Amino acid sequence: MISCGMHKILFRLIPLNGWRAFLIQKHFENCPRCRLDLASRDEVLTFLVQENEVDEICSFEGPYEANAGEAKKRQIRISVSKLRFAWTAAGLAILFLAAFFFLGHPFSLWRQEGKGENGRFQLHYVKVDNRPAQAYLFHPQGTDLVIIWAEGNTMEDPNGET
Amino acid sequence: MNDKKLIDACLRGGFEEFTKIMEKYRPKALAMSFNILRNREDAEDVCQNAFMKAYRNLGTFNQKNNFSSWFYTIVYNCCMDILRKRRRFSDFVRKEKSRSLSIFIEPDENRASVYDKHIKNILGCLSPKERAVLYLWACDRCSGEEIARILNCSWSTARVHLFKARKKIKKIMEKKNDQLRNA
Repeated sequence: MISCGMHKILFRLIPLNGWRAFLIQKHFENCPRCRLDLASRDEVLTFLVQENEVDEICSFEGPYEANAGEAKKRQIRISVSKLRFAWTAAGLAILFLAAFFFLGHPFSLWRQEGKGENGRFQLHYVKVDNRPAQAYLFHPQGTDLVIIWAEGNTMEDPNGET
Repeated sequence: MNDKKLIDACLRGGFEEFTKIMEKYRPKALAMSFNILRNREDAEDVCQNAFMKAYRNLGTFNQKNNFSSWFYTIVYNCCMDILRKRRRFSDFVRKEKSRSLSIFIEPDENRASVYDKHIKNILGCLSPKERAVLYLWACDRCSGEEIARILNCSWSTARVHLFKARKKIKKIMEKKNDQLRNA
């Protein structure tokens, strides 16, 4: 069982209406503890103008003022979303830099290892006249030069073949 | 006479039947638009527009569907139109207000009203969409599917709007109660 707190985190974390509606249906509307956070129908009715009260009502706000309030709210919403975008961008930049800093080391080591492998010289065997030959390697210090000296085996075959 | 019979009569050209529909739905439409717009004059404009649109488009109404849902959709769309149209004036109003020009009609605070500032503030904390969802859910006892059809959105979106609105109201109520207790 996931706790109420976990459901609230999941609700906030994934801003998809389908997912949120699923959580509302599965948990928030059925959990007795979470239902305490929601206004009931009767409570809501006390704040709404109903059919039988229509003749008594007068404007809460002037026509333009009401819309000015909406615009103000919209501006606040825009600035909040801008701020959220800025924070997300900053967070991503920090993550990217951190990844670059920490993962940069193994990458550089790997590159160095690769370089070492490329610079290593290996010689399994040398053949002269299709016969294994004696090979000598000379590597003059301070240079990338490798000299291979191969000596053909000219020893006569015990059977008399060369 | 039920809605279906009245609509049939209207489609045959009977204007009296449409007057009956208007009498039946006017308080509901006015209450809904007032809850969304929070201004009586705007709500009355919306009501008038909605009935005109309904009369003109009655031929397009599918009689298999619920008339009230169809009509509420028109009312809701008219409310959104008014909000959209008047939005551009809001900056101008604010600028003029800061210059202390009293060219706009102020709401009459002294006029007798059953709604005090406390209620006004609570409704003001909700968005027009949330107010519409709350009205349909609480006053008209519409189901999630009906609300979604009226607001022209998905069932899940309507459900999330309703959830958020109910939560906001509860939070404000608790805050107000705390303030009263502390005072």
